[in-house]
Amino acid sequence: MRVGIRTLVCWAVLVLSACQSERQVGVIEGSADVPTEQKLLRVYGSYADVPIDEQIRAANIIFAGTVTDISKTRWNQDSGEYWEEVVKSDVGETIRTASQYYTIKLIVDRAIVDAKEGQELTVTVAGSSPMDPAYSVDESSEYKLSIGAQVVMFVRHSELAWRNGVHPILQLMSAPDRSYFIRGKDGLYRTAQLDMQGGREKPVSLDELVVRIDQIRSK
Amino acid sequence: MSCSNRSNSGNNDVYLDSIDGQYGRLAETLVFGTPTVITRMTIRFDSAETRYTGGGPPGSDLDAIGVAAHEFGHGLGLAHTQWWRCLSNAPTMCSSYNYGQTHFRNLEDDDKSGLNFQYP
Repeated sequence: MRVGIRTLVCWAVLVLSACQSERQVGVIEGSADVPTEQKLLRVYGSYADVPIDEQIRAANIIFAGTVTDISKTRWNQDSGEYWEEVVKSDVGETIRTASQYYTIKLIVDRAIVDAKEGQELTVTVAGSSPMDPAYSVDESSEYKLSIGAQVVMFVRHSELAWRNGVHPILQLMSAPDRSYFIRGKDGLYRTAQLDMQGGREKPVSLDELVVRIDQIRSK
Repeated sequence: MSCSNRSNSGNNDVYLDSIDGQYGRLAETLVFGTPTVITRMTIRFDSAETRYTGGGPPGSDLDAIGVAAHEFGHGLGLAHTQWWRCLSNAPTMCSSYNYGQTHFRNLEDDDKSGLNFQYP
């Protein structure tokens, strides 16, 4: 028998409505400390899972590049520290909480779509950084991004929510570990993203990948 | 896992707000408390996504009900399942979402096992 959303939500309401909380918040594993009684235990994020062909079609910038830096996780205000604030409206109060992000810096080795060779790019990702000790990935480490990694990356212009307003960013097209091909020891590029049938994408040379990108973008 | 009895009134907040524009991060849940007691959660849905809230197929939009079910699962203390890709028979707690799919609305055995473990 399947349990529907109504059951799940009722369960959540029953459990959580019985819980009363305090506004001051302590911190999270691996992040800056805020003194408190109550701790932020976990931050979970859900990502869009965009097929590679759709990423190729919709990306504003595509390039082959080398990762030069990956930041640790920060919270979305200038100080980088956790924050929360009460927002009052006609329907009551909502507590807005901080969001996490990190940045990936790269140098473009080969421009493919709207990039320049030698250009330095900063890609901003909403979520927790692979440089954090608590970070864990679903995928095998052969796809994990690290400094010095050579990648073909698909990014788009977007905006990251800031405590007050937004910041323009370059954003990955899909889940963080599925928005690029990474060069293996054999010189071929592979991705953690699966094909439309749920199978593994075949490793390809950079030239083969560029041909695929050109074909899709020219349609 | 149980709830604490706190003297202050608190909020479990569910709201729409900016995160990172369309694509990327669709929603996020912050869970507060102690390692064994959840006292509060906040769920934020990215306001930049085009959401579908009806009963039929959502086309290429984000199925708001399915994503809400997933986030409430986090609010109850469930982490992501380790499925490789979240296709049509994947658990609600699978780690990523495919636009246009509604299967997160219904719990699979893996989801129910997780909840039964957390709340025996």
